[in-house]
Amino acid sequence: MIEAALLALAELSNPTTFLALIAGVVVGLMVGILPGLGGTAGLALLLPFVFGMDPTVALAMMIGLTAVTTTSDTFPSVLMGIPGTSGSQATVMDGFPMSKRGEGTRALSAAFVSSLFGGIFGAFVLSFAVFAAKPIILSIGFGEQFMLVVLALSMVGILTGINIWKGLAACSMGLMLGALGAAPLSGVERTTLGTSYLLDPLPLVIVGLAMFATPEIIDLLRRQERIAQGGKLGGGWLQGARDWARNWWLSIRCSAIGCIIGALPGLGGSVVDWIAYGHAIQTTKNRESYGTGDVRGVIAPESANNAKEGGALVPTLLLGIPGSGSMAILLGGLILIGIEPGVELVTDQLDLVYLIIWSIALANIVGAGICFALSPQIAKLTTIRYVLLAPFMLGIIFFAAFQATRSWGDLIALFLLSVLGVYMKRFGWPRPALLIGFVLAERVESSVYQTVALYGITFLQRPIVIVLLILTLLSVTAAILFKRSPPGNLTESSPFSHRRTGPQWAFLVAVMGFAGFILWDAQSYNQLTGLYPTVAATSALVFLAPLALNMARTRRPATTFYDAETAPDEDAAARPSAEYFLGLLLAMLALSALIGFVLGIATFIFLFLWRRGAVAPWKALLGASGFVLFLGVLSDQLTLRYPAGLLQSWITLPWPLQ
Amino acid sequence: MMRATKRALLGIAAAATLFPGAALASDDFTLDGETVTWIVGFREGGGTDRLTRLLQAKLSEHLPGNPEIIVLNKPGGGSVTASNDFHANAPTDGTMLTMASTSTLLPPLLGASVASYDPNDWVAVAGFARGATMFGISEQLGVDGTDPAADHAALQNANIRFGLETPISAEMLDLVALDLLDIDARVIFGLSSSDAEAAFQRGEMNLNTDNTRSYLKDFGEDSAVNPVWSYGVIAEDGSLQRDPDLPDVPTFPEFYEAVTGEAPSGPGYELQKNLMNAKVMLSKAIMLPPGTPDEIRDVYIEAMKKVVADPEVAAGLPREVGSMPVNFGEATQRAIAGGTAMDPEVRAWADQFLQENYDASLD
Repeated sequence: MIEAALLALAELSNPTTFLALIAGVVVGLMVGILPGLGGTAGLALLLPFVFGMDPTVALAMMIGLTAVTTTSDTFPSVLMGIPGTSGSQATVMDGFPMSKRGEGTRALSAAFVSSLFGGIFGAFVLSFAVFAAKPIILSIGFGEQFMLVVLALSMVGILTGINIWKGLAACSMGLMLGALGAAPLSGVERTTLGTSYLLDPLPLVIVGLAMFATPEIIDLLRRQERIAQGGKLGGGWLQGARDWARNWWLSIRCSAIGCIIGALPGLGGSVVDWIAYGHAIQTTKNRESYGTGDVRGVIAPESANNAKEGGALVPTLLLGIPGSGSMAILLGGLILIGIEPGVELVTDQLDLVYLIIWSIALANIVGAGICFALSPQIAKLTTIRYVLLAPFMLGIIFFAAFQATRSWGDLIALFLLSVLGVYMKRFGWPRPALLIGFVLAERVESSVYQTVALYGITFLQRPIVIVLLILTLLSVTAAILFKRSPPGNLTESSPFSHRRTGPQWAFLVAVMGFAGFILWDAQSYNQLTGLYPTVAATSALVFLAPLALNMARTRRPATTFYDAETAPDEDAAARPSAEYFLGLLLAMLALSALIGFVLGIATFIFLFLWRRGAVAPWKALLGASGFVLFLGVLSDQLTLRYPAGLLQSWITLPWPLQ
Repeated sequence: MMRATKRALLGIAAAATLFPGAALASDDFTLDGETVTWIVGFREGGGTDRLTRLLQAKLSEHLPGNPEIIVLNKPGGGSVTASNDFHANAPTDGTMLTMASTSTLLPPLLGASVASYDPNDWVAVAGFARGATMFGISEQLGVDGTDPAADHAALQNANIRFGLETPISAEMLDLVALDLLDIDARVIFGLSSSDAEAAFQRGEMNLNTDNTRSYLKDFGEDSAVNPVWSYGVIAEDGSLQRDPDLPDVPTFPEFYEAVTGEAPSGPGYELQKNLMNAKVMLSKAIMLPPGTPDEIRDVYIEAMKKVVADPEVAAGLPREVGSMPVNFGEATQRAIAGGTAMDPEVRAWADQFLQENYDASLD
């Protein structure tokens, strides 16, 4: 064992292998920074190159890439409020408020130390787990997976925000959005609204961007000159590292959570960050500060999402069963280079296993080092006038959304869900609750059915199920005991005012209408297809009813009400509405339908910079051309074809304008 | 008439292989300076994608003009989205081809309204057969794979748990097989093939189906897991032969005959043969768009023959598809016809089968 470990280390010190690892790390950092591209896209990018490479070299490159995407994805999450990958959605919750306070550097520093620690923790666990984990993984059957899903779902309790009904209803909305598209149990095209886009479920990355990115971008455009208020950027390098050191125990716990969830079947990696974030709130003091820029809210998810990779490799290597989307591609890559995962890999080719483990550890060190070195420069982005940044951000999120299935539907889905996200933000509906519901939707649907079909109620007698049940009860208790600080100003001039509630009612009725539609539509399917949407929509209506009742009966400012537009603001009249910016996005899409996405977004950027940003036209043109070039290079590297418009069906344009 | 045309075509194809000079017309055809786009309707890293990349590496060498070849992954709807687009819009000048798989062929076969393409219109280059087998945990089921009659009796009494994705899928082949043999199984849906394999490894499922290659890799050495039957392979003369990788395992019809004393027949078995063609014989197929001229097709067939004979590719192929022979051109086209043409009577049987057992319907 030690011999194999040393052999692997020697192999890794071979310059070619080491350089391949570094190359993988660099590509991994780049795809991690770009929202919407994660390990999955990065590995897809490498596949054509690894083919025919020496296996150890290819392996180092692929692992190097996989290990660090969740390190660099922190940049957009913390600095821009845009989740860099779906593994860092929760990082936005506290990381972005820190940036707004001018503490971007501190947040990044804490995040990179956490990522580094989590990654090495994951590699360390993997080095033991490959020998011992098989019986543990095999003991997680349908019943246990079901309870894991329930436990994850219980995290909603702690993330519901101020009004419990809005939180539960938002979670149900996520569950309902997960019901669109092919039914997992029957394959029936369920609620496709007549589009072939919804043959598959809505992509998570699009829901994530729509919930966080678009609403934040629009809000910032309206309210703030720069991301970092006052345009100052504190140091905070050492502060961030000290923050981590003060919370080392939280970091270890969250790394362990990341490893376990990554390794066990049932949840998949996308929910790891939320579980770690929820765990942090449940188990630490001064909870009120979470969500307002508490560094612990950065440390928890960032420790977990890097540790997850080591965990997810356990079933991938040991059983040949991938634990996540990026692991599925990694598995494909391994087979392509002639490595067959399975128990024999551990028994016969232990040096390869150690090569993987060392590669993870080394990649995390190099990756975090590069991120540290870059962060002072990148953090300066938060001091730039936001109006200059926003059009590029919007371009990038639409590009990111397009990565999901590479069709026009992606852009339309992003826009429609963004409208939902903008209004959820305005009316105080917790968007994390919706995301958790959405991420878990398919798991809820299949695991409940599979468990009941196989075991009936007897699954509750299984020991691991009982343990998980107890954890769930603790989690729910924590949520109930969690005293949310009453907002300081429940007055008529605060967002909690009971006056001018028309827009809130309109939104509530729209949500109810959607639930009603899902419920009605569900009745046209057989039980295997229709039961899940029926339950999801019913639960939404059940949670919406008390909210509506409270709104109808309450005659004073209360947490039932929320409308960010009611808050007093001196220059409220002067700034354009959220609808104005949504309108601009719609116009951009309409233009893209005519002249294709590349030219459409370029025109949008040009006009936005020139008219709104008051930039000289030639500079605006330069900015737009730069973005076209950026898209062109990516289209080359990723074998991408951007959405075409009418124009492209008439004439063939040269690269990069297609 | 139909048959006569096919014979004629076959004759031409045979002549073309016998006399390479006969393909003179294609000498002018070159892809020099062109980029050939190879559409894969699935995500990167999956089986279809891997096979494509294995072949892609060598295809350019053997095509006239050595074009650049890029693999374009367009996942969605189990390749239906990409296939609809391919059918309607792909250029027929040899610059675009697609790697189809069983799930590309099934929706038109089973009449799904979302599929607006007919793979019979596509121009076949090569098809890759990949064996499939049904196997179980011996201890739980009481089967050991030595005596079909005893295995069958044990299966009829066993508490079978069998996991698969959805009733209307390639795995319908296995559901129909169980039904023909009058074997009851508790079927759990919503499990992708890797989910089902995981559940089988945990012993929560005790009967599973997979391609022969995966079966051998995962359980070949495991005496606790034994194959019950395989689906065999259709030889050139149209007869069903045993899976070359599982020479000791009876094919489904052999198993059926050993149990009941007569060969399987009737609409249920016809459906089974359709599905077997789609799942085993056309596990993967390289196709050009409808309307592609014959000379371009022949160029591709020649190139692909050389690609699969390349030592590097030949070494990698068994890893992806097992050791069944690759079929080309007309033979592939025939298999597609056999896999996707369904008698109205068979279709009615399939519909009733699905409705009675799984509350599902083809319409």
